[in-house]
Amino acid sequence: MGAITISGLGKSFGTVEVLKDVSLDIADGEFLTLLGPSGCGKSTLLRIIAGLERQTAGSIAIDGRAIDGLPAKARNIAMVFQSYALYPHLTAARNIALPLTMRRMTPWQRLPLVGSLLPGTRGLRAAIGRDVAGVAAALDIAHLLDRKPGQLSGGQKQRVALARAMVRQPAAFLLDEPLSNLDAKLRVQMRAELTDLHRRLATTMIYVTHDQAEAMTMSDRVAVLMGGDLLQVGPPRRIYDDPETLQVAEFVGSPKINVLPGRMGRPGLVDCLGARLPLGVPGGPDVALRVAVRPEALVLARPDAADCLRGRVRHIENLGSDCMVHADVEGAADPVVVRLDPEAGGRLARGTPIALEIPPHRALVFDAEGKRLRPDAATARLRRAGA
Amino acid sequence: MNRQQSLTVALLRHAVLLAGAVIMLAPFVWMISTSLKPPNEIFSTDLSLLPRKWFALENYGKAFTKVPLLRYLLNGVIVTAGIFAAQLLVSLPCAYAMAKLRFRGREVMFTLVLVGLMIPAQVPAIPRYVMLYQVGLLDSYAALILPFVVSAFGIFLMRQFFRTVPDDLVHAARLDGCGEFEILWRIMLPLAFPAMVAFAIISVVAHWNDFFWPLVVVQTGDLATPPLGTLFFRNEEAGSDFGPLMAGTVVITAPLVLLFLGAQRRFIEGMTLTGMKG
Amino acid sequence: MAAASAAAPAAPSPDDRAEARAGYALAMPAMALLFVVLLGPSLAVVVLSLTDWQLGAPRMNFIGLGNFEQLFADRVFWRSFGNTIVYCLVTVPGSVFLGLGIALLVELAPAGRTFYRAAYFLPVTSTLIAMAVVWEFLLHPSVGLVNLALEAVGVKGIDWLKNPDVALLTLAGIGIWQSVGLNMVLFMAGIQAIPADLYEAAEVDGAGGAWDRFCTVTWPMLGPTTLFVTVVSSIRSFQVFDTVEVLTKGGPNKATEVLLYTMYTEGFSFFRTGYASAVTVVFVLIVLTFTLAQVRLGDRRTHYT
Ligand SMILES: Nc1ncnc2c1ncn2[C@@H]1O[C@H](COP(=O)(O)OP(=O)(O)O)[C@@H](O)[C@H]1O
Ligand SMILES: [Mg+2]
Repeated sequence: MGAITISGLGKSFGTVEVLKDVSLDIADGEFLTLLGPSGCGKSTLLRIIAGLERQTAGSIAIDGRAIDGLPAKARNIAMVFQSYALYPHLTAARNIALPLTMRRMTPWQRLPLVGSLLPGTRGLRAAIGRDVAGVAAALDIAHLLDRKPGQLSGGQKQRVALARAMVRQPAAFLLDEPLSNLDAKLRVQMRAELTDLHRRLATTMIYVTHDQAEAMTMSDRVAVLMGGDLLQVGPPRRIYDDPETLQVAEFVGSPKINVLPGRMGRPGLVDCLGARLPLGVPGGPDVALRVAVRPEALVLARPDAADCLRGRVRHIENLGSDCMVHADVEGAADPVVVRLDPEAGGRLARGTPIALEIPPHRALVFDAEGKRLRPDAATARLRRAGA
Repeated sequence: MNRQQSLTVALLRHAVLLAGAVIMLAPFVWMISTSLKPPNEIFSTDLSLLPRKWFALENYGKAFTKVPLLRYLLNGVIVTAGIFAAQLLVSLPCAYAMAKLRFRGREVMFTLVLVGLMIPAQVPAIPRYVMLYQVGLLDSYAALILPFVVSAFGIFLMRQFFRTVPDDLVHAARLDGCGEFEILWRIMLPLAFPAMVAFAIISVVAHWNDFFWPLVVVQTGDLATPPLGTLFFRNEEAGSDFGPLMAGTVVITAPLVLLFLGAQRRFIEGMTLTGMKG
Repeated sequence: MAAASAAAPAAPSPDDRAEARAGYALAMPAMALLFVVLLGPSLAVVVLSLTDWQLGAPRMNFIGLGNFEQLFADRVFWRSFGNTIVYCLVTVPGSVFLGLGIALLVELAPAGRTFYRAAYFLPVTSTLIAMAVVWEFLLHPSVGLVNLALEAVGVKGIDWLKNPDVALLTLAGIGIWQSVGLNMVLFMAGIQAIPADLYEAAEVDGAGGAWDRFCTVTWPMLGPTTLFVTVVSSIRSFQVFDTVEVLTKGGPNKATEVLLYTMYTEGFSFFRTGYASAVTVVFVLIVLTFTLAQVRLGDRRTHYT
């Protein structure tokens, strides 16, 4: 069982506040990803949950029981480190066996030489050996058990580290960027394997990454952490389609979401670089806004169409399956990126004038502080009727 | 550079280095050579390496009977082993705590270690002597070992080494259920083996060869360490019976020299670190 | 929310205290011993240097800087001080430059490297006292190898250890013989640490000859090593004692009296504890100056991997 409740968690190193009032409920058996740029406090949060670091505020509970006072070894939580942290002087088998040795055997039984003479030691060792063999078989590393970490490849070390975490059947797994040291191809493969493993074990996993592809493909829910603030928690799709803040919208998605300057026009309408969008967001006239549109949401319009962004093609990236068109748009500071199918993109060339239409239901509006503005209920109904 | 030039350079290099090596090794060679010669050959003026009449048995026999050479060597082993064992036992936990544990006063303690590192070995000699005199321990193994049971250099060296062990490894061990002592014993010690060898070499060489302190505290011949024993031997001979004297010095120098020739790389690496020691 | 987090406990948790407790438990024995056998006695030397105590005397009086006044008025002390300086001025440059030269020659080519390194390093590890006895025999005026060898090439030998003009230099020579190997390996490590592409760059830039390469790459890159070796050698030479005690006992006529030897005789032959402590204080002040420099340099250049 491993439902984890984090409430009001804060952490400062001296005067530097690394985590600010983080609250989060993780259900038993859930796969939750902590997503954020490097340095945002992800590892710190994980290490606090593990009991390796001490919070300066707030508390953590597992299955309703506060664990704040417990040392790491009493928390029944396993962790897989980015560097794998395998003991270099021990074979894979003894690496995996160590957590069991420490838990099941008394200090006397653990003693070299003397320990093996004590009653029960041999039986315990045999049982530990069986458990290690079982985990190794499940992870397909049985043939590596006699090697030391120095003789293992990155992917193999990864599996041994996973085995060491799994062997004692913890209440929850914490994984700190476990795939970041692998090459791209292996990373994709391990992604699938980890998801599969989670399904089989049905144990809570908190997975830390700065890679949004991992977050999007593996998780039940994603928690976006930036600058020590938990900005949004939700299923991957929601984080992508329905971000709460501009920061989240900008961090998630590749290529990055286009952010355009906007301004409140007549009630319910937003002026955005010549396009008038019936977005129905609340706010007085002339309030500055930001309008964000994902590259795949923009639509190529006829050059003479009204209510469009206008500009010229600056650069075309043909990726085979898609075509990314970068266009200089009048009034926009950065080039606007549009994702087109290769056929449509192929018809364009550098310098071609283009017009881009923003479908109103795909536009995300944020206020000047980057907070999401949603259509108020009345205008939303109106809009639905209009569409 | 053409071939002929480079040949000249190579020859010149060997000529200079060989000449130097002859000077460096001459004392050793001459010591051995003399230890094999009878007195009349030693006092003759012709320079020959090998004796005409082998006198090794007589010289070495005399060396071992005139003074208790084996006793000196045994004392050397007891003292250096005792010192190193104590230093290890005391320094390792301290070095680990200073490298990996957080507690108030850690930095102050480390500063004290650095201060200790800078104090030349002879400075605390007088108060140490007074202390041992007052507790009546002068002229004993305790007097030879106790002042060196803690080594600031050992703490410093091992701490620096432990700091290179990734924190993640310590954290993984904590999650796996190890206490601090077990982390030290199961994880850090095996990893620190090379550093411990370096420390062992430095400590053993320093205390096997130490002359000042045994000279100060030892009066009876039975407690003499090898260097002090050599001096006793020399004084006994009044500098005339060179054959046995040289045999004695061969015996005294042999252990470290053989150790060095057996593990040259480690010895040199280890001794290079002594530069850090005051 | 802010109120909630402000109310949450910020005091050190049981686990933090457990870590601190473990830290103290592991560090304290060493620190206590360090104080008893090293730091305490070293402080005591300073205190004793301000007293007139003689070992075994029933009482001691604080006499302020009296010992130092006496010391600075003593011709023997100045002789001893001067001798120590001269010894250093000969030994340090001698062993540093010879060490550098040998290291450069050895590193020039792989042939014979291991042999040369071992040969030059051997005196560093061998028991100096035993070797001093051997040197005494080698320097014997009539049957010693040195004079025999000199006579073989037609030079008249001298009594190296009894002649007041050369005795100190003789000891310095033995000092160089003993320490040059250590300097050599320190320099060899420094030379090996110079990236090979620097030489290639120098060659491209037109520094082709051996001398040019030495001037443009090797010597500048060895700067920190040289400084470090010099400081280490200075500290070691300042501590010269063994050869003096065995070979000359400070003679002839104080020609080889050095600071540590003065300290030893005052402290452990005449038992003038206070006075000997004052000598120690002077000695330590000089060495500490070097050592402070050394530790700062050492931090920069030593890597533990
Ligand atoms: N022990 C520490 N002392 C001081 N600052 C730290 C410490 N550990 C982490 N930090 C700081 O906390 C911030 C978050 O670190 P971390 O949690 O490792 O980030 P992430 O894992 O998201 O990349 C960083 O700015 C880092 O410099
Ligand atoms: Mg991290």
